[in-house]
Amino acid sequence: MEDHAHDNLKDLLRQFFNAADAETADADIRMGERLLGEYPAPLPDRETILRIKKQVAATIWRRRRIAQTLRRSVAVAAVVAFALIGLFGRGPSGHTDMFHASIIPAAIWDSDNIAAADVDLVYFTGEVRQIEAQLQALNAGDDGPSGNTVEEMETELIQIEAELSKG
Amino acid sequence: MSSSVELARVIAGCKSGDADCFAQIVDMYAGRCYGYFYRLTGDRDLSDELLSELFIRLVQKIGSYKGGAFESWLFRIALNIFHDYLRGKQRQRKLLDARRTELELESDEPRLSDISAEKLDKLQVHLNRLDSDTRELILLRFYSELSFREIAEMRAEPIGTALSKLHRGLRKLRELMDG
Repeated sequence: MEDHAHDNLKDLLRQFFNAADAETADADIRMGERLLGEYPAPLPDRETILRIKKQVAATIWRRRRIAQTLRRSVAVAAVVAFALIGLFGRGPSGHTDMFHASIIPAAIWDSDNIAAADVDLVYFTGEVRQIEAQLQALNAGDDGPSGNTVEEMETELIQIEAELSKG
Repeated sequence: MSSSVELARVIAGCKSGDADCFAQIVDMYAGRCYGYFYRLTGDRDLSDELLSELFIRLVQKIGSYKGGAFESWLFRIALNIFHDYLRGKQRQRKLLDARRTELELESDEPRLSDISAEKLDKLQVHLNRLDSDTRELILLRFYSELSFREIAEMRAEPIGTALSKLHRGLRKLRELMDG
């Protein structure tokens, strides 16, 4: 392991030492590095390599699932937002404009009791918060007590989609 | 296909999340990185752990690799992992010392480093007698196979300083081995 392809050690040493010292330093370094080569470090066990490959594959899988779930969450959130605009965002004249482009209708903003004013909104907000908490747990490497948080999140997202399609 | 072209292909595969490409990277670098960790720590189990941490971090960080010498990038991560380990060990030692003082317990057990020393090879014993910075430099140079310029850049020190430290360190190591 002494082949440092990018180096011309002697030339490099001459930039910092006089010719004689550079020669000595070059010889010292080469002998020292040869010494390291004469005492090779042990290699990792085959089992260690296999375990690392499995861990790497699991890490890739987990990251991919998180990314997919995040994308899906964003898509569902967008659908929820548009659906709510569609459901509640119409003015008295029956047509929407920028003034009404809010996911929460004015009546609910004014309400003292959101749960009573809009059950769907409470339901969706609760679901989104739960998904957020699960994503944070997954990012922290906690796959939940059941060990299948990703699957649970997917089920929740599918349920939300189903609810939305029902209107 | 040249090795650099092959490496570029494997890295591109890693960036797209291909597990087989990561497995190839493990095969290509596990030996050298394990040797590096082993010579730094003198402990096989610990080297296993650090090696495992290195490749997990590689998966997490591969997106930030923007080209250039891959070995330099990889060994920079390895060096950071080793420094993280040292910081953690220092914290543990402080906690342990505080607890010992608190309980006024004096253990009669020999220190772990004393036990390990019996099992270590001659080179490992003498490497441990060098100061930690010089030992790190010698091992980084040997296992990373990087040029002095790359090593000096990685360590954020002038190339002349790195050369001089390496020269003195290797000469001392040889004297220790001969003595």
